[in-house]
Amino acid sequence: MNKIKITVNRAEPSTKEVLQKQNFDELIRQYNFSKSMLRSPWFYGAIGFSGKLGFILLSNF
Amino acid sequence: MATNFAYHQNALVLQEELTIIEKAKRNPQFFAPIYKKYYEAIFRYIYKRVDEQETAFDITSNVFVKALAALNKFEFRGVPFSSWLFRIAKSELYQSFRDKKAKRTINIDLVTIVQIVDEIADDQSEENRQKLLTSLSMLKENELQLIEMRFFEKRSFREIGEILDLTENNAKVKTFRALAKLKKKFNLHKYE
Repeated sequence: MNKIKITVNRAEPSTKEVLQKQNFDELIRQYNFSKSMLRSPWFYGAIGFSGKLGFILLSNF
Repeated sequence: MATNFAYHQNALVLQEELTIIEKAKRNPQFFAPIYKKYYEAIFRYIYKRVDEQETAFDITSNVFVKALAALNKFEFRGVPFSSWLFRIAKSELYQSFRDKKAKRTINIDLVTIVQIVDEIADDQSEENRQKLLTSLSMLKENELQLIEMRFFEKRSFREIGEILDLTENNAKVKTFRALAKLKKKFNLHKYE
């Protein structure tokens, strides 16, 4: 873990500033993207391929 | 000690929250009220522990994406949904520290420093305040998070227990042990 930094009385962003960063549509977009990645055969294909490659490398070298 | 009253919600509010979550399990669009309700609390929890504001916003986004993705695994235990979100936040935070995307920060205000110095020292000298800060940075991560949640964020032992997956009593015992350790480090430092 990184070395700890200590700050005293750091200015906090206001509620308005924090809430301006909310973006529910973006959340749904990211959620759908992560779901589609998990469903994609390419995703599991890539995992399978790298697993096999790792096994071959480890058993031969 | 004043506690975090936002955590203590009545049964009706918890039931309403549960209804929304059950709907959101079937359709993520229903998650919006939960996202709006807890966004700021999760952001502030994260921002108190990291150096940069933008990093805190990024981690906050990840927390809600992870929560939505794992929503079907959520089981209601009679406590606010926020406890589950804080647990995800804690895990995302430590992942960011491991990946070195965020720098571990202790963010403390002067009032809290004065309160803790009152607990562990005889006087409020500047030297004692500096010693407290040094002693805090010497604690182990699990001890530090108990001190942060109890003394900086004024959370109840019940809430601390739910976030850290401990019983209320265990949270209390561990917090007092962490405080004792802080005192010990403070006093050792005193005689160096």
